[in-house]
Amino acid sequence: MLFAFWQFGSAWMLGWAAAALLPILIHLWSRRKFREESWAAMEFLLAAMRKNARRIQLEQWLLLAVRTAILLVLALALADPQLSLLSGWTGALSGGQSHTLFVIDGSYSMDYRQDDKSRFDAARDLAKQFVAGGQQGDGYTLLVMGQPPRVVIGQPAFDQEDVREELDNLRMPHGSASLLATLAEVETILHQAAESHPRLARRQVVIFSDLQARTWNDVMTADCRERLARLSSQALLSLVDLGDSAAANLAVSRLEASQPVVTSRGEVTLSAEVVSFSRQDAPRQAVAFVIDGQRIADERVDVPAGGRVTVSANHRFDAPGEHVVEVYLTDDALPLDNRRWLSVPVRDAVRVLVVASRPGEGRYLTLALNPQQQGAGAIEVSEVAESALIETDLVTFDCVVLSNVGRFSREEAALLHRFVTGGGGLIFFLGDQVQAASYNQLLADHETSRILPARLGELAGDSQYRFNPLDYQHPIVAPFRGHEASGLLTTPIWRYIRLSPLGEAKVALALDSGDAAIVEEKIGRGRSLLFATAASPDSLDRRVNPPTPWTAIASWPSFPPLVHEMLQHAISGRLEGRNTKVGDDLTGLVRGASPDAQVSLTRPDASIERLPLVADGPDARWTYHDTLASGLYEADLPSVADSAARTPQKFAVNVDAREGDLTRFDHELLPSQFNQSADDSGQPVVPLQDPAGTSYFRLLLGLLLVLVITEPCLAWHFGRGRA
Amino acid sequence: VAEPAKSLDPQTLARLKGLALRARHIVEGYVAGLHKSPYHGFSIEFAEHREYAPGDDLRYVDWKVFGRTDKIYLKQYEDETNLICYFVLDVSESMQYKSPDAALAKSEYAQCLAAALAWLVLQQQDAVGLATFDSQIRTLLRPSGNPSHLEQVLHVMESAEAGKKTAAGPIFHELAERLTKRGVVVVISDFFDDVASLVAGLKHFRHRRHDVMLWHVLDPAEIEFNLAGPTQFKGLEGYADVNADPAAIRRAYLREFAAFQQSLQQACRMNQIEYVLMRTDQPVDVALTSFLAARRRRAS
Repeated sequence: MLFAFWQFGSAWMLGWAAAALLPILIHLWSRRKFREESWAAMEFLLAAMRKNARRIQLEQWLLLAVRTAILLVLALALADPQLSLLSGWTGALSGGQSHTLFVIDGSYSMDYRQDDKSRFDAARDLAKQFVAGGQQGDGYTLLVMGQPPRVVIGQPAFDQEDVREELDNLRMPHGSASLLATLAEVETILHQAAESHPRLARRQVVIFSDLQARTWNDVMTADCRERLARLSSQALLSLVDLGDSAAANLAVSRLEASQPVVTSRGEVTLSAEVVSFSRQDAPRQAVAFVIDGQRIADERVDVPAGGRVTVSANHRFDAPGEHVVEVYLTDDALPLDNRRWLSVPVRDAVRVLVVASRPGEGRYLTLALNPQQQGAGAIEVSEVAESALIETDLVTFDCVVLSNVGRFSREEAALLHRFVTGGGGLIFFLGDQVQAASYNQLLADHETSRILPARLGELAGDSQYRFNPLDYQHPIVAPFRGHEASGLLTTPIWRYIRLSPLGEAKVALALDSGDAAIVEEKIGRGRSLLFATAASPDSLDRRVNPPTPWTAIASWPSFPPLVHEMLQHAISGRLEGRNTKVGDDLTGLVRGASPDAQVSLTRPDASIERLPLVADGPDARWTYHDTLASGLYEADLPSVADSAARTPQKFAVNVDAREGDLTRFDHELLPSQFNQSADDSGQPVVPLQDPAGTSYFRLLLGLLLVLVITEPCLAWHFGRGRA
Repeated sequence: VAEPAKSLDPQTLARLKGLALRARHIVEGYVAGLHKSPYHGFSIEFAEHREYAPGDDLRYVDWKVFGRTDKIYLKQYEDETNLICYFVLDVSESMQYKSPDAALAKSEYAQCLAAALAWLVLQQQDAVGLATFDSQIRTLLRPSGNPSHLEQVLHVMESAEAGKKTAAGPIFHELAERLTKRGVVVVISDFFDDVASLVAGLKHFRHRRHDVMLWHVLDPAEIEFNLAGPTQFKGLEGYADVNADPAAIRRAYLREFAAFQQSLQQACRMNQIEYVLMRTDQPVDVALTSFLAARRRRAS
């Protein structure tokens, strides 16, 4: 049921309604002001009056009413009345105020612009108009539909100025949106408001959204429908459609370097992917590569409708340090995803720590990683004994390679866990020293501290085995495709430990026995790789006589490239911490910081936030959660004594370009709980609750015209016309 | 001599002072407009036929009868030279009404008519009588053909004072009894009275073999009722004052008034009484012409 109430654009104009008294006063005055006339034909006059007294009186009243109505309607029209509709006879009858929960879609597709005004701005303006048309005592809450949803006003606010200020200060997040999580939050807010403010008898939820399919497809799920059904029993649900079915978009969906750790000793290939979310081809689109503010390449690409195009540029960084690569397209109606950044902390070399169980165990690995054995290589390898691991500062290394380490202490396990979750690479090579039970107990069995991608089983080895590349699907072995001479397939394996992959671990390389040879898994921001056999010919199976070596891989030509590919894969998370998506945390380790030290984080809009440090083992860690805006963030550690740590670290926060797909959800499929009307023109539709109210100005002017025409007609009909 | 059309206009007459002057003005203006004698056949009053005898004037042969019967009859006339015209003039208060736009009050207009016609009749050597009345007979002048009688007639009309209430019916009965000699009775009034009563009185005139003419004198405002704005109607002839918006009741009034006029006209037709509506904004020759035309019809 609907309840209507009037609001006025210019309420003071209602004062003119007093002019409606004029006809009445004139009528009364004219009754007192008679012209005297001697009259002879009184008999007929009296007869006429006697027979028509009632009719004359009715006619007079009708004319008086029309004349009064003319002035009243004129005053009403000047006051610009607006009729707003609200539901709930109960609330209306009880005179209770309303609680309106605004839900504004915060997915970055809402930044789509028409006439320099984004959909998000339009939603905010509509909400402000709605508030302006509210009544004294109405309460408002505000929620931004995001991933996760963000509660801006959780408890009903009654000061319209405060609500407008919050709406003005609202900044559109650059992430995606979760409808289901938002509806859960809506339910929570409504429930809390009903408990804390029971007098707000009428409740309504007004959702402003562009009906993007990526967000709204969730509405088809059973969970979502159940929640909507519950919500509709508590409040009126209205949907304001701000979308446009004809919207098209181009986006930079990916920007990456060819190497996870870029060094100043070699050239790196930068690749950007441009994706089209349009039904029409986009020929000769300009793509620009900019590094540290200097444009290094301009490309023109033809982007087919709905297709993807990769653009590359080679570059050699002259010096180690913090660098930023930026790729951008010419701005379109959705500029947010036309730009992408890549933070590239350039090193002078990739630093690898080889931990060996006994002297000489790691020499094959060291040789494979840095064949030059000089400082000129792009990879610097340090070799330490197993016992020295706990004393080694892993922060300076990109990857730790553990070769035939027998067992781990808890401290070592914790150290490695911190290292890998912070973005480092871990590679485990097994061997005759390995105590599988120790590995499993400390590195595999506890999910919270697990760093192994697989559990270790029994030693296997009854015959000679070969590698199975599994159709070269995994990035580690993919480079071997077509290079059979590399010896990967002929590498002899005699002993290995059977691996049981855990969690989301993937088998990169298998044995022809069917068991896994290399298992890898992403652990935190880093990556852990487990090799089922040894990296040294020194591992022997002494159960047989003569002792049988585990493998001859260390001397096989496939070994160096395989180790390099494993290293590249293991450290692929090194840039990940510096390059995140909107909504992901930014974090970093600081060594030697004083307890009261703070990190200054400069946001893309140049605002600065001070972040506290939290102890993380022997180091301190800072974390920043509010990465709702895409762009470059810069963390500065001015109070840290270590000069190396003073270099500001740059972080690139990019949008998830999938959100740039503006395909709209078919509103015909919307559940009936939404009071939403389809509008092919893409114009906002507010079917039940018009925030701005429906203006009746023209209607009243029409009524006024009718009355103005009616009055002389009536007067003529009643005899005045011939007077 | 004044220009004929204008001289008969009420506005022109209103500028003339004195009834005698007005009457003369009318007659001269009217005669000038006719271009021939208005008296021709005026006094002839048909009575019966008689057979032709040698020596009779052939002018009086009734050729119509000869055509039908092949016999020669002469038309016999009664009082061939002595027509009596009685003017019965209403001088009640209602006749004093004059709307703001009118040039003459009804009574003045009626006096002009009566005076002009009296002048004509007396010039024809015929006799004129006059009776004035309101709620009773105020004055009764016996008919006389003496030209000096005109002066008396005019004096009586001018000096008549307005009475309170019209009660025409009983007065007509009384006059019918008192006007013994046959003649033409011209009743000039607004007839704001009970129609049945006054028609009964008029019938009495007809019973006495008088020719009766009703000159219904009305002000244009009474006919059209186009007064503007709320009005306090001050009732004449004893009616109480009434406040009304003329615009609001105009249609109803016009309906009532039309019904009154229709009933009067119908009664006249049924009783062979000549009815002539005289609007005080019309030239007076309409009245004179209608009178003469009626006489001619009767004579033919």
